[in-house]
Amino acid sequence: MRYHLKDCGGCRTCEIVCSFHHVSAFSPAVSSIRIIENETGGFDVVLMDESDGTRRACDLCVGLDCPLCVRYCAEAEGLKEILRQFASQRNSVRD
Amino acid sequence: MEHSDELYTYAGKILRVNLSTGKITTEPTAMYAREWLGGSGVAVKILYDELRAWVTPLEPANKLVFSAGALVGTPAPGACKMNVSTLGPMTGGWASSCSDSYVGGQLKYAGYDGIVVEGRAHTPVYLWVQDDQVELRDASRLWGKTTWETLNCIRSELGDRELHIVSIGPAGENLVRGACIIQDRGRAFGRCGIGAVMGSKNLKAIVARGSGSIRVAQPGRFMEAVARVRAMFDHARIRDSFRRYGTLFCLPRKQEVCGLCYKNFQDCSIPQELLTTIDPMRSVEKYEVSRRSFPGCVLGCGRELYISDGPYAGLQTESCQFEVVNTLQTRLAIEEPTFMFMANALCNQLGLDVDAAGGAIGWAMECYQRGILDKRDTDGLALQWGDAEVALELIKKIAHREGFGDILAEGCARAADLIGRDSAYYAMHIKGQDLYEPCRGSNGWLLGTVTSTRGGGHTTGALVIETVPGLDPEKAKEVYGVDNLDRPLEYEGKAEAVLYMEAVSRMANCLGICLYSTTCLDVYQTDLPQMAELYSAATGWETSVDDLKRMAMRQLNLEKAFNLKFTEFDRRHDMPTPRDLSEPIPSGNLAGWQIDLAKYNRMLDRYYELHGWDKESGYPCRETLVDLGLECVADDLERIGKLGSLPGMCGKPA
Repeated sequence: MRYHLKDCGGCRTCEIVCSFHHVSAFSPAVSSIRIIENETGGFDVVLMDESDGTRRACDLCVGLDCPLCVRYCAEAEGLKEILRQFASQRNSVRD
Repeated sequence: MEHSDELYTYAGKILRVNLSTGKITTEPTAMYAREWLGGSGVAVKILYDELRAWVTPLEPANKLVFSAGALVGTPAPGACKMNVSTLGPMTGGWASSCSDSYVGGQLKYAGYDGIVVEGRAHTPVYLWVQDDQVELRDASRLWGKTTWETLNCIRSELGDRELHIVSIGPAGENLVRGACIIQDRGRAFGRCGIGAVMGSKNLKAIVARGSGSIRVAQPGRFMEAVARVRAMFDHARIRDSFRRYGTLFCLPRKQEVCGLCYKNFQDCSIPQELLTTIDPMRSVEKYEVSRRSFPGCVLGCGRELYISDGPYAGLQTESCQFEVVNTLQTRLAIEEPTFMFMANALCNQLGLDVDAAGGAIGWAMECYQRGILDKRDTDGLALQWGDAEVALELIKKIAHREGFGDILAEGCARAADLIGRDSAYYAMHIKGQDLYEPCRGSNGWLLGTVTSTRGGGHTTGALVIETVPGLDPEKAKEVYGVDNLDRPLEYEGKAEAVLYMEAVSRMANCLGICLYSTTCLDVYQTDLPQMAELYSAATGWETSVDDLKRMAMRQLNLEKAFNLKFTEFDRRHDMPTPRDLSEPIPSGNLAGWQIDLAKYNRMLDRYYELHGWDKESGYPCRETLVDLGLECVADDLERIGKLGSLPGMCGKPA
């Protein structure tokens, strides 16, 4: 699922820490979150609602007070809102 | 990806790519990691050991070392830097330049901490690194293209719009001495002419994509350290301004302290009307499209701009840093406020260092002003101050070595030698490297810039902090160990502070941490204790601040020895330019202030004494090198008669 994150600078630290949650190592290739530059020069957030065999499904960092991607994001409030939308959309799809 | 069980935070291997034979091999990073960390540390060890004294910069026997910092690939704050080092064509000695980069991280995820490029390809090639698959691919159709075109072509060819690359433009291909290497479109491995060395090897680009992982030895301790360091930035006084404008926010302060270059250093501040007209912060507000930031960065200094009006309407590019304002906009007295973005973009496309361009063009315009050059020398161009179109034309001529540009492509020092006519006084350079740094009015900045092993440069020891707005003197004393950092006109204590900054800058580089997220720019940011903790947790090797300082001094001494091996540098080359020594600041808040030669020499004496270097020659002494575990280097220097040995002239290191 793809969302636009206003004011994202594309640092992709979220990708690095997301992988740490899943595999206790830094490996963006397996992350549930992916940052993609869009055609206007801004950045979009792609979240995995299920695993594709390499990338893990986002579990919203179950067990943690705050998802790691949000904790390490300079635009934390915007990303938090995206995760809320993601959780809501995923639940509605599964329902 | 294979991963060493014993080596944490490193990928574990270094690639060796011989372009002459096409042979690609690997060697273990463990050969270097413990003593030389990463980045420029590993590079200086490899280059000092492997380059014979007869090697020259642009021949196949030179080597080009790309090395990611030890913490790159982790979320350590600001850990996004990759370094490139070589024997450089600008100074003829140590050449090293780092840049924000996604490529460094991808290289590590692919399994490699660095790449040693050797030889020269018979035809243009680029290197494609994808995990275990490493191949040289034909780049014939890319030769002649700009870095921006090259990025698009390689992304199309390899079918991945998200790939990151480093590449050279026409300047590197044409062996322009100030050619640089560009990461994607907007970040430069800028100084020292490393792009010319890449061009001399027929290597157009390096592309990396990795699917592996980087592990740290003590994950819990490491992540706690990362969180603590990130929290420190909440107290940084520059944080909000830096996040908004990058280093551009320094411009008003630099005007106050006479830290600007106007008409090739004829003045050290600019007319108030020009300051108002060019205001780059207003331009950022007006043209910003989005932010730009790199892995681990807590500050986020980048901005993507779309220039919607004026002579360069339609240009989309990343905003420039303060350096471009100084080295091209005010140096050439250009009023058009968007010129800085156009000139920066053009230099990036052509793969030309902005400082090398500014140094050469500034020298030429001053020579034209004084009648040393005329239209017969300049292909008919009138080199008038403030003429933006002429400046852009000269940038293109330099990159293509066309006409008068062929002379400017040599850098201002060599161009002055070629032209003669007493023009050398106006060539502002240190050790042959064009100078963008105004050296009058800030003595710690001056000392660090002038003594830099890579030639003029403020990122390897200069006290940037002296003129940054909002300095907290009490905290500065605690961090730097001297109590007068807020008094840039004083000479005392500056050698000690430069010694500290030499350690911070080298360790930041080796770990891959952006210098602007350290105490270089704000005393509340990452310091050596935080670097030691991050590195200890990441590697499992307990490393103290004293250990880091010692490794930094070992590296600095080897850089110095590298220069002594390939150049004639000595104390004379650690002196300010003739203009900086002989002319007082003409106007502004420091009007009339002049460098005091006797006091400068005493400051330099103290600097040598702290380093354990001979005060007369500037050469390292045997005791200093032996203390740092560099006894073989002492033997080397003794063999070529460059070992500091004068009785009573050589202090012990602090």
